[in-house]
Amino acid sequence: MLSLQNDGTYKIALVTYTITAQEKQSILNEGTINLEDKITITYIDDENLINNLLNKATTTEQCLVYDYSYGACDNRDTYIHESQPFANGGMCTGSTQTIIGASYDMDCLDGISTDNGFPGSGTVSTNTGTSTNNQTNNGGADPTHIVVTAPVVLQPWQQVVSCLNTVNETGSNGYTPGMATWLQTQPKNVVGLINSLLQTNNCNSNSQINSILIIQTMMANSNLTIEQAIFETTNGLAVNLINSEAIDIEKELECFNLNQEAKLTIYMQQPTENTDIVIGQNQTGHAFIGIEQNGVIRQFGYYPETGASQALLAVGVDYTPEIRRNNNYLYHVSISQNISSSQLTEIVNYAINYPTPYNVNNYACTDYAIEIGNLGGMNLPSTTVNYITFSGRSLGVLGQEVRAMDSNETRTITTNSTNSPSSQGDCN
Amino acid sequence: MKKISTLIIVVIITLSCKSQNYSEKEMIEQFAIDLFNDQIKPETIVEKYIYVSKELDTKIPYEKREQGYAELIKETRAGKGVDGVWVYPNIHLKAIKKPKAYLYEEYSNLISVNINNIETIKDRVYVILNTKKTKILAYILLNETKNKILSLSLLGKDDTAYFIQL
Repeated sequence: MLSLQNDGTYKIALVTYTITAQEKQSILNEGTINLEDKITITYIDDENLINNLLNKATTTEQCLVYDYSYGACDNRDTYIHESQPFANGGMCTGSTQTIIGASYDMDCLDGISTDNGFPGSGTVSTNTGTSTNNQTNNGGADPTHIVVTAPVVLQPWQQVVSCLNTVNETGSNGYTPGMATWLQTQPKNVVGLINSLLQTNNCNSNSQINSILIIQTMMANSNLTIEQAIFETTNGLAVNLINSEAIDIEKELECFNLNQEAKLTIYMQQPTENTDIVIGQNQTGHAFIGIEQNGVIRQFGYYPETGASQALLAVGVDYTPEIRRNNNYLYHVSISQNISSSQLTEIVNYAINYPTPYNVNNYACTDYAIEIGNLGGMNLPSTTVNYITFSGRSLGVLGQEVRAMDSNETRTITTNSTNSPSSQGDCN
Repeated sequence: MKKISTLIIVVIITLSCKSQNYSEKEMIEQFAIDLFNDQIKPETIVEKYIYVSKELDTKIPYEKREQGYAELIKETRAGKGVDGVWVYPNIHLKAIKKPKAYLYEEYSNLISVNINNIETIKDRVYVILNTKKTKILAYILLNETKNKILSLSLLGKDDTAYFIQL
């Protein structure tokens, strides 16, 4: 394992998992095993080894040296490509020739093995690679245990510890082994969010520092939720992390007393502030809901499911919806109104039993917000906008329509661009 | 240096893959040129470059979706594509004589949006850069056979962006 240090150098460690043949088989069968006391980390202080590892060719292609024959361009044009021949298809910038022939030499398989699957091409190798893609690791056998160096799927808390350990080694932060113990006692959402914060930032130093602060804060105050700890320690840095997770909306709203009044707010982020265009700097914009009651505050909105396999969102196609938080979320227009206990009950029921499917044209975040707003007596318009193949409710138009309303004794309209509040209050 | 004849086969396969990859890039680069060529009708560009799925489970008729891509191209030519709005290729692409396309992974460091499930499509995602290679001007997703463009629009909110299919 190579760990990038603050000064740009690498620290190298040999990570060894000592497991039994039975455990190895379990891994091969995609099962999980307990790795406690089975991981050995040996730090290696050998600059030459690091240099060899970082500089060696890692693929067969990188070990090939191309011998080219050149001739005049045959298309009356100048080939303009990158500095590396073949990197983007041909000749170097400014050349007036083209390639008319090529041969290939092997030039870098001497020395440390590149484990390329070709027998006998390196002078030092501990691998018995064959040209049939079968790779056998024949190093380091032990009569009682099988020692494997293949990656093992770590539990989320182990992934967190693995990342934070690098901070500990540089001595630049306060990671302690006690944190590993604490992580193991935490529910999935706590460890999952911290792990997400680290993994989505490639375990960089900022994410390490933030994660350690979050852990320290929660260890010092066991009453804090992970969301509260993140807000307290990262001052909004991790807002997107919180807002990008699907939530259990029923649990999210259970703190509200359905026998009491509350305040309902519909927030509108417009595609471009104060215009009715359909797509702008804020993409299609977003509408979301806020409910406040006796110090308990929640913001949430309706989205297509991110956990699904699609990377495409097709206009007019149905998707499974999900509800996410919208804490500290930019909005341009809002409408707020006090609601009765019966209206709150209706709203909570609708919010929990949200319509499905999500469909950009038929029912999306704007529709969810309009429906809930109208359950609270807001009389929000539901104007359909047509643009290319889109035919639905747009935050550009809705934002402008609400912007044109006046505040009165029952409702408050705001038109200042700002962020929604964070979740507050708990009922555990 | 020692010649290893057995490797020639592998090299030929490698070059074959590169050649295919090159033609994908070449197609995207020519698309980027034609995209802003007012002499070419948007409908012609759609026909030549865009894959309009007939299997898509949507209530929008095929012809309307085909026309939708033509309208998207008109909007792109009208300059709707500005920094941060990836639904349309960036208008600055118009000024580049020989646009270059790169696989997503080659310039993933320039990508600030988190494309949902990018791992499942990354071998089909290309970006077109400005000449200094400091900014992405267009995101292109090819269809599965990689001979046409499936999406030229990226829509991102919060931490999640999707390629948009009409």
